[in-house]
Amino acid sequence: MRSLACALLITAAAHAAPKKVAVLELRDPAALATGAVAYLTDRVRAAALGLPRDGFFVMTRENILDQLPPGTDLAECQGECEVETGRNVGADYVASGELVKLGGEIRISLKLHETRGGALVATDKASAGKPEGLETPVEHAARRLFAHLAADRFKISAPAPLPELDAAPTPGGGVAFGDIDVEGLEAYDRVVKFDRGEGTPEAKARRWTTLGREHPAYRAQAERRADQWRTYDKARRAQLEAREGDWSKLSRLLRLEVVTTDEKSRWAKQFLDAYGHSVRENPHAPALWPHVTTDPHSDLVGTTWAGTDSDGDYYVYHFREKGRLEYTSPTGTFHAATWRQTGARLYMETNGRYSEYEGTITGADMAGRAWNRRGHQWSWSAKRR
Amino acid sequence: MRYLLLLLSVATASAAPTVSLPNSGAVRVGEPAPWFSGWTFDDRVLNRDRLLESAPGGVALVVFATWCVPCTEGLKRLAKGREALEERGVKAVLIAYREDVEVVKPWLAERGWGEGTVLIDRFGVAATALGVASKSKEGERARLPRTFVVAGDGTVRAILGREGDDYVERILQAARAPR
Repeated sequence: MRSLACALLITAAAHAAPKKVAVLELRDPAALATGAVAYLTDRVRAAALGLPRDGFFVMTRENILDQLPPGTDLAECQGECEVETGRNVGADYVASGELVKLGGEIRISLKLHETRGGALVATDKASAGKPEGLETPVEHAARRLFAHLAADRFKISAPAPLPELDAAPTPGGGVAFGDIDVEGLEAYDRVVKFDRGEGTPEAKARRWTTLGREHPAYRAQAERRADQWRTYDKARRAQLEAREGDWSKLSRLLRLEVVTTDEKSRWAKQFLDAYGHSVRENPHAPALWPHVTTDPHSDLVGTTWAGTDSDGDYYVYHFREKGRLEYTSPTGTFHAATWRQTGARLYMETNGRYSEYEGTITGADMAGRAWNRRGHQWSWSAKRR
Repeated sequence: MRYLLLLLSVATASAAPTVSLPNSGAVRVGEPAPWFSGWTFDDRVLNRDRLLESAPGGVALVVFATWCVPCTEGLKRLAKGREALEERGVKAVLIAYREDVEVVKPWLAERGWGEGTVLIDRFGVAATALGVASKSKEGERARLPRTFVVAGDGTVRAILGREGDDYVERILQAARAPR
């Protein structure tokens, strides 16, 4: 019970409290938008509310005023004052802004400071000819401003790679024909076949351990192999845990408006690079493909490739713009297909992911694996026409 | 002999009475408490006025830090004596100097503080206002632990430094002392 309590305490300690964000009243020293300043400040605060709730706590106006001595006028804040005010109200980040007239326009410059060190995190600006035209530009500028905070929110856990596994060991030779333990060798053969199959690493480790126990002649190599599988299994579990942890965070970030498309694309690519681009390696990959921008200048766009697959069927692939794929199979020409390229990696799917292809492009050749929902698997290759 | 000296020094330390101070920086006994505020563990803002409204019998403000070794004993005494304080309408409030929730919360739980009010003073603003922390060329210096007994009308009744066995009793005496 005591150790459980300790574990709970450790867990609680490891959970970081949300960062507090204070939005100060915009300053309008020249009274350019009299009466609208509080409203515009609220638009900035509303943009801050788009930050992930598990990571950020946006203070209300009352939260801020309650912490300052009665009679404090937030709009009097000048120069370095915003950082000081941020600290006075216990904020981790403080957003501030000022209205100025430049030419025929009213401009709002927004600033975002980190309060612990006082560093300027980001600035942005918005402008309009009249105060009533400022609402939308201010909202957009504020979203861009707070996107800098959300940008730091996602980092891949950098799991350790899976260890390389040697081929299953062969039993030692040099035994005279008459001395061969046929039963033992048959058992060894069964375990090697199982080792090469689709069983889980844990099951494979168990089979080798059993072999070593039942056939002492193979104990040393069986135990060594079982250890290899156990190490592999441990690394695989750590990787799965890291992947699911990263995914639970990333999937929420991808839904946010305050996160820019560029950031989403960068994070999606990081995730795919870390955990695999294909659905076989990484079940979350399909949800990320729309975020990974296919280079519009990809040299695949507008090209045609053709080749034969391992079933002996001849296919022609036409790579169209915006990830559209046309293909010709022995049964006709179809349009219900898409493609996506990340560097030299290629993914194609046909008919709502009934069939999926993944492969690598090397010069004028592409080749890879494919599978369909019925469980059929095949290899494919194509050459550029 | 060395052990005897050690035992004597421990005995002396535990028997040492709580130290009263006439002032803490610009904060003086008999004068109004300065403005202070902070965040609670559940992200509520509490400030001087709100605290006094909720504790007409007065408040014992205890400024501490998790790295302050002498603070630990006082906090344990306060945790034990909190019920006695509350019976007399005195609310004990901890101010965590330059600390974060995720550090303070488990630290206090281990020391039996339970559900009591704690204000997080992330940047030492409240501690500075209370004269506990002060800036110098070398950096910021904090004199911990320090307890402020503030009456319901906002007057500082006592400022306590080192906390002895009589710590809780001294808080009670100060809180009920006639004006």
